[in-house]
Amino acid sequence: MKSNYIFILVLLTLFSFSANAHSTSESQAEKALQTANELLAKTIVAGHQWNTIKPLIDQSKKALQAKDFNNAISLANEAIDQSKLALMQAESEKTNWLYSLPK
Amino acid sequence: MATPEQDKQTFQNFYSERFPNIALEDFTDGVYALDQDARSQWEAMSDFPPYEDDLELGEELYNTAFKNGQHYASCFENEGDNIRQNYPRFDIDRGMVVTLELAINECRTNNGEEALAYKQGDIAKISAYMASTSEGSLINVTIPDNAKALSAYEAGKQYFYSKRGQLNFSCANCHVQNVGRKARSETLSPALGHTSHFPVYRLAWGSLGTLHKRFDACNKQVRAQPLDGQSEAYRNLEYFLTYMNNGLPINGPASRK
Repeated sequence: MKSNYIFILVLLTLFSFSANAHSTSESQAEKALQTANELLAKTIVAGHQWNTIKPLIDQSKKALQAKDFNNAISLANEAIDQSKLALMQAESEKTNWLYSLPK
Repeated sequence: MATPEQDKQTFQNFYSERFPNIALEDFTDGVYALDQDARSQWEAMSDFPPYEDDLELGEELYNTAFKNGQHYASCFENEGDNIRQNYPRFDIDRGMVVTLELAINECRTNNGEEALAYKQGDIAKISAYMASTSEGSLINVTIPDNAKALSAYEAGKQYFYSKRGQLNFSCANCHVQNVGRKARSETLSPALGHTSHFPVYRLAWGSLGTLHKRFDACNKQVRAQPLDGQSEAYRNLEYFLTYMNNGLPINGPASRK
């Protein structure tokens, strides 16, 4: 009888951890998506939006809706990385474009 | 900082020195001025230009009265005949570049009609007809003595030379620095002459398209996000690029692969 109580207690603990991990992943995915959207907006303002970024965000949103949180985070992070590169490009081209002028 | 006129001289000299056997006006044939094989195929296709029907439709549309009885001709100098070479122009009152396609749509809305969708369709047909009335006229885009006009020109220039997209290419990387070289199987065309022959019937599109549609295609190729038709950035780019083509004859509409 006592062993049954222990077994149920272990199950409840595991379930609690699992639910907690689930909500953590979901919030991480939502946070990553929010960051991805914010950075995408910055690339648009900078005039250097890449056409590869929005599709990643769209895919990430779909993954989030399907509760595939790991995939959603991965896709959002890829969008974040690309936006950061686009912003670096925008920054460097503020002056580097002058080196392309024909002589 | 170089003046627009100095920029134009440097730009045109670059191509003359790079291709000493090609006359300046022949750059209006684009890649067909550089690639003889491609030119032969293009000339054969030009016996029956694929844009001919659209050109006729464009003339018909141009001459069709609006609901208020007015015509496109009422909106343009010289009734719209032989004016393509003067566009884009800078509107000092509004402080912005006005392309021919924008002027066509403004003509419509000022006469109570709905604006046409940009980049292709009826607007390209009407623009093609108007371009055809300018055949042989020399491009004569002006930059008035106005800070905003110069700023628009400089913005277009910066766009042209700035790398963009995931592939990190500028317009100039292909059409200046690598002009005449191959990108896969395609010869890269000279930017000199690019604006002389639009709208263009591209076999890849299966229809007439405007210069801004072509800008879209280039942006997609370097994985940059294309802009809206008649966006400020595209209008400024067209302003710069057409100024670089000053003195070349209008030969649009034309066909391309």
